[in-house]
Amino acid sequence: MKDVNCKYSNGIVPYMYGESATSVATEFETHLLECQACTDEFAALSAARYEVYDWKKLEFDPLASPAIRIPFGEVAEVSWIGKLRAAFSTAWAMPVGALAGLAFLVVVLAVLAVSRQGGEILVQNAGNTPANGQSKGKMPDPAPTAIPTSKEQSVEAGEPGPNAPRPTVVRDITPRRSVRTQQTVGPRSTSPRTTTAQTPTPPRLNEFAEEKDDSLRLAQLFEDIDTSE
Amino acid sequence: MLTNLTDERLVELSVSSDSEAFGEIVRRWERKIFALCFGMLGREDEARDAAQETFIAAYRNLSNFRGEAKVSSWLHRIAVNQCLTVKRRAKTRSEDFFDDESGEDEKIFVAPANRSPALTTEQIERLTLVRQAVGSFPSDLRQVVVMKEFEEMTFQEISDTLELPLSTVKSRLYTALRQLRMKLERLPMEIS
Repeated sequence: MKDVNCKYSNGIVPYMYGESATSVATEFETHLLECQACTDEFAALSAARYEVYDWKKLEFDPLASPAIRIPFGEVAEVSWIGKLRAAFSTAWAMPVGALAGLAFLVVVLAVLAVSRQGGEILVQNAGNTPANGQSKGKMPDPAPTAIPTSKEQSVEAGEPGPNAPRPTVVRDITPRRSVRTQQTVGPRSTSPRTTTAQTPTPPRLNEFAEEKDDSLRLAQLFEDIDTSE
Repeated sequence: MLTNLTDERLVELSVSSDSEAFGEIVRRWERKIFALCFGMLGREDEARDAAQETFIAAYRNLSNFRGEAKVSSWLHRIAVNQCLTVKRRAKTRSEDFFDDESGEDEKIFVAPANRSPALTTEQIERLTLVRQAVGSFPSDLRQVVVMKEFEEMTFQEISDTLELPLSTVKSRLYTALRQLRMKLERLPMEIS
């Protein structure tokens, strides 16, 4: 069988089954007299159809219809998927499901945020250990007695060695940690700032004395370079 | 009295435990569903079982019928799924109902029990070839052929049942008949 590129070829099947509109059928019959390709295609498809028709007539038509037995008295077994589907098909299922999903998302995000914060502290503590001259292979002390003050650290960070941690890390984390450890270890009445500053105001974690932090010198240097260009 | 009701109304009655209403649905559709299963599976015994399972599945899932589709579409979908499940199971058992045409002609062919004894050997061979050829079609093409020839549905009915555009139904049947013709032209030569 060859491919038929005639625009009437789409009308062959409806015509063959007698489902073309009368006007379309008449037009197609006129076309068949002129188009050899469509005539051949029509003959080939009719032969194929006849084969299926024959199959049905000889093998299916003599068969009696099956005796369908429906177990009306039997209680329909509901699978767990069916139960689940039924539960979620009620009107309240969608909003409740959405709320539950939202709550779950919030919890997951909160856990992620907390774990990330904890991970940063651990990484930064590990990076600080050799620079601060502490012994190698020793876990950092959870409540060190000689935690350097922010002033001492800024002095150390101002003269970084070859393996020294990045200065910004020290600036971000150390005041927060020193405050926390002093709060837990030291007496409650004394403010953590009392050792470095004599102000009685409560500690604020996001407050840094940036003008005193020599670790910013490198960044300032880069800024100077940028502006000079 | 039930015979005057629509399929959808019969389903509504069946949901409210009216077994007579569901019996009417079975009576209306058993022959067509059996024809569909026979055309899809090619074996009488399996077609009977598939038709039986189709109606049992429909009865058990009456409450899931939302009326968005026609009852005929719903039943056909269940039947086609049932046939595909049967074929899948048969495939895992390495048993093909249609005796695939990949050269395994020595497979035992199960002839329908009610076949007329007057059939000539040539006719029987021809029927076997047709069954093999139709059985080798993809299920979407086979479905359209079976619905058209065995269930004698119009293009519009097939379109409604399968929820496909009319043009798609026509083109699938066209493709299927072309493929059948080509296979039948090729197969006798392969066998001889």
